[in-house]
Amino acid sequence: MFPIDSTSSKQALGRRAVAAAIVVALAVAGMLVATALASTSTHKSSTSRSAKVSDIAVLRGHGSALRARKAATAFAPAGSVLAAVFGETEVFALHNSGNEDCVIHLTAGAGGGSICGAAAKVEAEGEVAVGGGPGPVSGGIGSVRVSALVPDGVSSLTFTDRDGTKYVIAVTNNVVEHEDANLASVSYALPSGAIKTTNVAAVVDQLPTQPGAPGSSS
Amino acid sequence: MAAILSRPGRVRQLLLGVAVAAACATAGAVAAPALATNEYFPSCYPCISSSDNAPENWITNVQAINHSGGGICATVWKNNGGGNYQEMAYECGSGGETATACSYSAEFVGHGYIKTETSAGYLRGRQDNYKSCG
Repeated sequence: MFPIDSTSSKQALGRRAVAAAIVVALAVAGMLVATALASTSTHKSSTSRSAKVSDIAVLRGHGSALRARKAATAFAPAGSVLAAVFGETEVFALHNSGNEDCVIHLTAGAGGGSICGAAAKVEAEGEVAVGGGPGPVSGGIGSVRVSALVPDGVSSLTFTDRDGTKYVIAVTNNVVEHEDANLASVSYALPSGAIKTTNVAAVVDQLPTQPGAPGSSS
Repeated sequence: MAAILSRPGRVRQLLLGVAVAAACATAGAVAAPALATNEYFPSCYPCISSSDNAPENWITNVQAINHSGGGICATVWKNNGGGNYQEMAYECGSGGETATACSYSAEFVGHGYIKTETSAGYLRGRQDNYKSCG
C-alpha cells in the first residue's frame, strides 16, 4: 500500500480544478465567438434583405427617427415603421410577408385603416388610401382622410377641394396624411414626370349610406 | 353506515357543483363578446361580386381583398337597432388590393361591408374583433 500523501492529493485536485476552469472558460469563449459571428451574419443578411425589400426609403429604414406619441402604436401591425405624425394621427409604412407595401394610419379615438398593394407597383406609382369615420348614428359617411405612401423623389401632394381650391402638402418620410371633408382629388408627380391622380370624391360618393342586409351580395 | 351519514354532504357538494357550473355558463353567456371573431365572407367564395355583406357579429375591424386586382373598399358598420347602421370606419384603396378599416374602439354588433371601386371581381372579406389594425 502506498501511503496517502495529502499534499500531493491537494495539488492534484487543484490542477484538476484549474484544468476544469480552463475548459469552461474556453467553452464560454467559444460560445461568445459563435454568438458574435451569428449576430454579424444575421445583421448582414437583414441589411442585404432590407436593401432589396423596397425602393421606398422609409421601408429601408432611411427615415428620421420618430417616437410614437400616441397609444395608437399598440394597434399597428408588427414590423411597421412609424413614418410620420400629423396632429393626432400616426402614419406607418410596412413591407409585409406577402411582398406588399402598406400605408397604415391610426388616429387616437377616431379609427384607422390601411391599404396594401404589390410592392413593385407601389414602389413605381405609390398608393393612396381614402378612409375615415365614424359617420352619423343614423347612417352616412364620416370624415374623409387621405393617407399616401409615395416613391422616393415625390416631394409633395396637391390637394384639390370640390370648390376648386388647391393646396400643397409636403411629403414626410415617403408619407402624407390629411383630413378634408370637401376633398375632390389628390395628385402628385412621379419621378418619371407622370402625374398620378386619385379621384377622392368619386370614391367617397360611391359608398352607401347604409349597408346591405347581413350575408347578402350583389 | 358512514356512507349513509355522509350522503347529505355529498348532496350538498353535488348542488354546489351544479351551482358553480350554472354560474360559469351564465358568465360565459354574458361574456360572449369576449370570444374572438375572425370570420371570412362571402360564403360562396370564390365567386364574382361587386359588394358583399358579412353576417352580424361582434366586430371592430373589416378587411377587404380584391383578388382581381382592382381598387377595394372596406367598411365597418355598427348596428344601432331599428334598421339603422352607423359607419364606424371605412377604407378604400386606389392602387392597393387590400384595404382594412379599423374602428379602433370596443367591439360592437354589426357587420363588415366590402365593395370594388370599379367593376365586379373576386372579392374576399374578413371581419374580426381584434385590437390590432391590419
